[in-house]
Amino acid sequence: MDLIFKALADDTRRRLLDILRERDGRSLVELEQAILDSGLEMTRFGIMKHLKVLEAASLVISRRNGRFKYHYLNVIPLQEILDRWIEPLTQKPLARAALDLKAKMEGNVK
Amino acid sequence: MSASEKPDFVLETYIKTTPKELWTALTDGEITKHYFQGDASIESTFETGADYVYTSAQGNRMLIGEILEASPYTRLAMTFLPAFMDRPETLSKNLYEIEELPNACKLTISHFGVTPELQGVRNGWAKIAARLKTYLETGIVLDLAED
Repeated sequence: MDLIFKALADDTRRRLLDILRERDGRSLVELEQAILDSGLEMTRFGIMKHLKVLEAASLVISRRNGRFKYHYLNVIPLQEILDRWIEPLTQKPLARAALDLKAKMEGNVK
Repeated sequence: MSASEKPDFVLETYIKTTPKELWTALTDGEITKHYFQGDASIESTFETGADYVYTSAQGNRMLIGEILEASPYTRLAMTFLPAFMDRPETLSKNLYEIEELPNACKLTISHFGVTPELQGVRNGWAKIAARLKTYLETGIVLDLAED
């Protein structure tokens, strides 16, 4: 679980996940291009380092095919976070109501 | 299914179970109905070349195809055709791989040859994997809203 939050605590790594969500199964070269296109500057080595952190957290899976390695977004760890923290919240009306009330009051103060 | 094919997507999940239990969960219709889309039961002999069908709780055929490879406790590959769709020229394929770890199993689900009409299966697999894991680890049947 720590690995997931560590992996998510970085803009470039979140960007990489977004890029893979758009289209899965990209090579390092394709990811490099997509990162560049999104306005971030990053060396190939830098991207490799970020991919390593994402893979350690199981958020990205890689598959080798011939000469190339392709990267895939693994949604399961995120789903598990959702199931553990978000889902119980939406199912407990009291907690939900408290949050709504908080949002409402804070909204009113502004 | 050759290893040189490139999957269109891959999911990995770790489940506290044994390869045998996980295999049974994939191949026993009495268990698939607790986690598969539409609470569907699978039916097949699980021999290479055999047909399979997932039938929903309401009795509708949901998913049909052919068993491409069935290596008990390790690999299960099949063609994948939602029953309501016209048969395309080339069928997409899905593959389950089970890897035994000291206290758990790693289940990898990959899908090959996903056409634009099949983009929804990605969400489908995520839900199936979540419900399968929950069911095997806790016995709870998760009620996730269907898309």
